[in-house]
Amino acid sequence: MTLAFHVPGSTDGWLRRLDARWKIAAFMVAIAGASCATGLDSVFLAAAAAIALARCGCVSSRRLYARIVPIVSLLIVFFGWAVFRPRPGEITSNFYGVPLSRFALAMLFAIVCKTVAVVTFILTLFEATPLPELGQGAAALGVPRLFVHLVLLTQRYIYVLAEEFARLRRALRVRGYRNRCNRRSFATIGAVAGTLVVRGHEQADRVYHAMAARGFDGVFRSLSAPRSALADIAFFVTTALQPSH
Amino acid sequence: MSEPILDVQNLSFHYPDGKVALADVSLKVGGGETIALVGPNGAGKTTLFLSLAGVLPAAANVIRVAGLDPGVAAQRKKLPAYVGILFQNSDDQLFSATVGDDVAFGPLNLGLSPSEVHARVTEALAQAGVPGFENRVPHHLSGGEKRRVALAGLLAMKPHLLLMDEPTMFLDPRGRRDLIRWLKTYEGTKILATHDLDLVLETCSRVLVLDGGKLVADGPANAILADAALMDAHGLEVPYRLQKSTVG
Repeated sequence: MTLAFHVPGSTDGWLRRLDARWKIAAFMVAIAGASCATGLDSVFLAAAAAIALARCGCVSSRRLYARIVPIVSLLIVFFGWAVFRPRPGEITSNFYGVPLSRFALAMLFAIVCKTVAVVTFILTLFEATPLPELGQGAAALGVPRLFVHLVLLTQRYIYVLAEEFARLRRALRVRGYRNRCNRRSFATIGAVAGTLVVRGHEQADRVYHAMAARGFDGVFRSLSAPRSALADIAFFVTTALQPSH
Repeated sequence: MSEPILDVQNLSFHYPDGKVALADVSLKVGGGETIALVGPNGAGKTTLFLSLAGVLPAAANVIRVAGLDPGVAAQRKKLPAYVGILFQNSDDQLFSATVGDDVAFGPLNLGLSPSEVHARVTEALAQAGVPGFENRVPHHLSGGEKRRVALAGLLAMKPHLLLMDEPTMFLDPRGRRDLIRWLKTYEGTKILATHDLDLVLETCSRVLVLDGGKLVADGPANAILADAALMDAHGLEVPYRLQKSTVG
C-alpha cells in the first residue's frame, strides 16, 4: 500500500523556481521582522503581506487556511479570556453590556497577526521549495550538513515507518483489537511502539549497508548547484522589507 | 569458464553473537555468467552478498572481485564501482528525496563530473524501464517502480558484477516478466539470490545451493534443481516445470 501524503515543496510556480538560499534568507528576515513588529498596523500589514505572498506563490488557499484557522482558534482560546478580564482603571469598550479590555484586545490582535504572518511565511517557504533544495540551501547558509542530512533522511523514512505502523495497526484490528482505556491496551500500544523502534533500527542498518555498497564515505554529494539570479535578489529585497512597513 | 570475475576461497563469517553465517565458502564466477544462489531462509545468502560487496568485513586474500580484495581497505573503497547489490527491500535502497538524487548517489560518490552523472542517471532510468522518473518521490512509487528505480541506481554505477537479493520480491507478474526479459538481455555478470526457482530456470545457467552458511552444491541449473533428494535435504522444492517433465 502506498500512502497518499501531500509532499511539501510540490507546489509549482515562480516562487519554486527561485534559488533556495535567497528564499530562506528572505523568509528568515521577514519572519524576524514580523516577530519584532510593534504597531497594530505593522503586524496587520505583515500578516496581509504573508498571505498575499503565499497566494502569489501558488500555495493553495485550502492548505493555507487548513493550517491557519486551527492555530488562530487555539490562540483565541488561550489568550481570549484576558479580553473579558479588564484590570481596574483600564479603558474598556462595552460589548452588549460586557466590558472588554482594549489593551488585551490589541494584544490578542497583535499575537494573532504575528502568528499568522510567521506560520504563513514558513508554510510558503516549505510549499514552494522541495525539501532537498531547502536542505542544500540551509547547508549553504551555514546549517550543519549532518543536521541537514538527518532531516532529509527522516523525511524519507517517516513515510516508510508510517506504512509500517499502518500494517501493524491493520494486523491488530483484524485480530479484534480495539483501543480501550485499560492495561491491556496500554501494553499493546507499548509493544507496537517498541516494534516500530526495533524495525526502524533494523531498517537504519540496512539503509547504511545500501549506502556503503554504493560508495558512501560520509559525504553527501549533490547534482544541483544553486545559482543566483537578479530575480532572487529582487525577491529577497521585496520580501525582507515587507513587515517593516 | 571465462576469466573469473569473482574468486572466493574459504570465506567464513560469524555474527557478534557467535552465530555462524558463512563457513568455508569457496566459489569462482566467470565474466558474463548468470548464477542463482538458492537456499532456505537464514542460509547466509544476504551475508555472502554483503561480504562480496565489502560491506561486511572479510580477511585479506579470501575474496577477489574484479581483481580487488575487499579485505584490503584501499581496494575495498574502489569496490562500489565494480559490484552492485540490489537489496531485498527497495525501501532500504531508496533513501534520497527524489528518484534522480537516488540514482545519482552512487555515481557522485565515484567522483564523476555532473554532466557524466546526469547522462548516467538518464541512461540507467531508461535501461530499468522508468525513463523520466528523475523528479518523482520514492514513497509515491509502486513496489514494482521502486524495484526498477533501485535497479537503475545500480546500473548507473556500471558494475561488473550485479548481486540481486530476491529480485522478484514485491513484483507483480508483469513486473516479474519484465525483469526476466531484462535479465536475459543484460550482459554483465549476475548472481541472483532467490526462492523463485522458475525464474532461476529461465535465466540462470548455474546454481549454487547454500545452507547453514555452507555451499552444499554447485552445478548446472537443470541438474541441481531436478535433484529431488538434494532439494528436499536443504528445504527446497523441485520446480513444478521439472517435476512435470520427470513424471512425463
